Amino acid sequence: MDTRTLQTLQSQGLLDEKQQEFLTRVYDKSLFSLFYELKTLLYFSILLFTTGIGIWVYKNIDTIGHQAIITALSIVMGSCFWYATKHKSPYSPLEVKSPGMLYEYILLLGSLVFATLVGYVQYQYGIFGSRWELSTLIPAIVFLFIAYSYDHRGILALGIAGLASTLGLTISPIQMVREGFFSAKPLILSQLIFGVSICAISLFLDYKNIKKHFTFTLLNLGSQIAFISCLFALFQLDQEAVYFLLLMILSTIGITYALKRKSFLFLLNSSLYGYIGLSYLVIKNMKDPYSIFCYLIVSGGVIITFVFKYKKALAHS
Amino acid sequence: MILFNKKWIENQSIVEEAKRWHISEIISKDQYESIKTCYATPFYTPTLLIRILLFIFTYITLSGVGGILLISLQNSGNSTLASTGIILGMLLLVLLEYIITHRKLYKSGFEEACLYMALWGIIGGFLGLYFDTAVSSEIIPWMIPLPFLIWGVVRFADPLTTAATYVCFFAILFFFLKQKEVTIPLPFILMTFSALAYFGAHRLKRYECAKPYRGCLSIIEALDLFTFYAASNYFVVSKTNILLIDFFAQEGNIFWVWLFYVLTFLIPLTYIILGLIRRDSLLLRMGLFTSALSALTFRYYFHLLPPEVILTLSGAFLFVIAACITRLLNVERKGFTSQNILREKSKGANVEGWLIGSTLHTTLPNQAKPFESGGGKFGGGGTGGNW
Repeated sequence: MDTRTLQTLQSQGLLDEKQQEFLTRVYDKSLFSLFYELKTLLYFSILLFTTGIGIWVYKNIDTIGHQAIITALSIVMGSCFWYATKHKSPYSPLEVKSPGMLYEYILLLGSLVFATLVGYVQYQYGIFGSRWELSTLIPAIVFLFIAYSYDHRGILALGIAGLASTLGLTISPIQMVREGFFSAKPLILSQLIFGVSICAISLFLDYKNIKKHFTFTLLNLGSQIAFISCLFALFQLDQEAVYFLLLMILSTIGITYALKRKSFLFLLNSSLYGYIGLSYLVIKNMKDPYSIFCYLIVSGGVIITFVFKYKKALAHS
Repeated sequence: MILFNKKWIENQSIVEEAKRWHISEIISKDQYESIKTCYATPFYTPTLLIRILLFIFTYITLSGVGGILLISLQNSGNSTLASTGIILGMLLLVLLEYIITHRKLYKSGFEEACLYMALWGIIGGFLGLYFDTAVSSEIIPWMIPLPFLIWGVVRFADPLTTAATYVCFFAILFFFLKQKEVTIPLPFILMTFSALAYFGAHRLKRYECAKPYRGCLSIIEALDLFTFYAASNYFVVSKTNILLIDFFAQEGNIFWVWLFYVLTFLIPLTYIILGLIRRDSLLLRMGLFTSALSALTFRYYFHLLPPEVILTLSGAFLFVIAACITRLLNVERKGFTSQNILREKSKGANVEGWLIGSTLHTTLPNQAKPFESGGGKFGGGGTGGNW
């Protein structure tokens, strides 16, 4: 933005002098933020580090070096949690403002190292016996505890991912789509129940006013899992009518919730997945390509018309 | 020139910036509402997600129309199909100009979908007619789209069309040099082109008349920085040498090998330093991105340490550097800060949380199945995939 525009805004009384001076510093770059660059570096450094140690620990399991690695990782984990606990604000069911970007990423690093260490301890010492799933379940539960205690959305998502992993499921949409075509009925249905359960729990916690700002993350994860699983149930399994009805119910609930809470993401998701399911059935039952293209024109046109007709209502939302 | 009302575009951008100021708690809600009222425009510009929705369904609708035409003309010749595509594309462009003017659409998703479909029809049609001829050239297929893409840029200031235009220019230069069997100077000519285009775009941004096109000029700058680096990256030069010049050449058999090794590392560093000196986010980010590419290039040719050691050490090193700088710049120093001064319009915290969960969980060992000792193999079902 031009600094002259800021002067114009001030002369019109829309900005006060202090605000105009501050924004001038921002736009003429005399005050320059490295926030996004540093955040990206922190994220990728954690990705590299945790990927590396995940492999390094197990490659050196039978060597003398692995004791040193484990000691080092324990020190890293301890330091991270010490730092995070030192800077942590008291628990509140409301949103707690983060002390800063560094705090969030140090806590994230500590949590990921913890999960790696739990996995190692199970592998090396078999503390959970043959119950291997406990080595993902325990970290998942700890992640959820940390997420609520320290108010961290990323660790919340990791906790959900850990729970999914314990059940042999995935939260990655790409992974779900890739594996969906080869999945057996129990896995698809487990995923569907898991997704719906996450959504239900998140709505319950939202109703109880417990960390309402987590609702978006939980609902987003849960709804993605539920919708994709429902679609694959429709594509792969028998009783199409049942899964189509379920998909329409989920879409309707999603759209209603989206309009009520003014969330365009859920509106987009719910309408898109519902449209894909409806289109699948329509196209499958139409033999004539001409009819299929006519369906695409009519259905697309209806949605475009709806958006333009109700654009004011959507804009005010 | 641009189809949209320039004053409205300027006013819209003021309102968008005011929204960022409000989200960043620099101005109050009342101030934001006042600015919004004072600089209101008749434009219809929906939120990003409605824009995506409109884009997808406009594309679906137009694809349906395209599909019906294809079925109707399936027994006609290629030239009939191509001509129909051209005529319909042009009609769509005319219709689009009318709709935009009367409906006052701006970045709605609808006009982008129509524009891309129209250009696809026109360019596809002309390319179809060209391929039907006996003329064989590597340059002409890149020249054919140019006038229409330039029209798309000038009339609509569309970012994707801008990128496609740049790619066409770059490809024309590349294949022209290839045709003339210019080998040794090839990377340097491409670098010169990128540098000149960068400085040209940077200079143009200062002019008042280029205001509506600043987004497009930024795209050109970004592509210039990338192609400048790519033309000097050792991996790219080496592979291109093999592909274009000597299919049987060994890697490393290129002129002035040492120069390209040096440039592969020097250019990202230069971008970062210049980005910090000039306080240019684009230069800085491109510097970070190309540094990662240089690291991968180095790793491709030199295997000093096992991959897990490299990953761990580089991750630790980067984390320490980033953490130290973040802590140091918690308070403003020499005009630099690590605080988030101007937050983005979208709900970043939610998106970030979801991204972290979707990506970082893949780095965790999945313990569903026992591991083999020594080899450190990961087993387990379900979460082995990447985002």
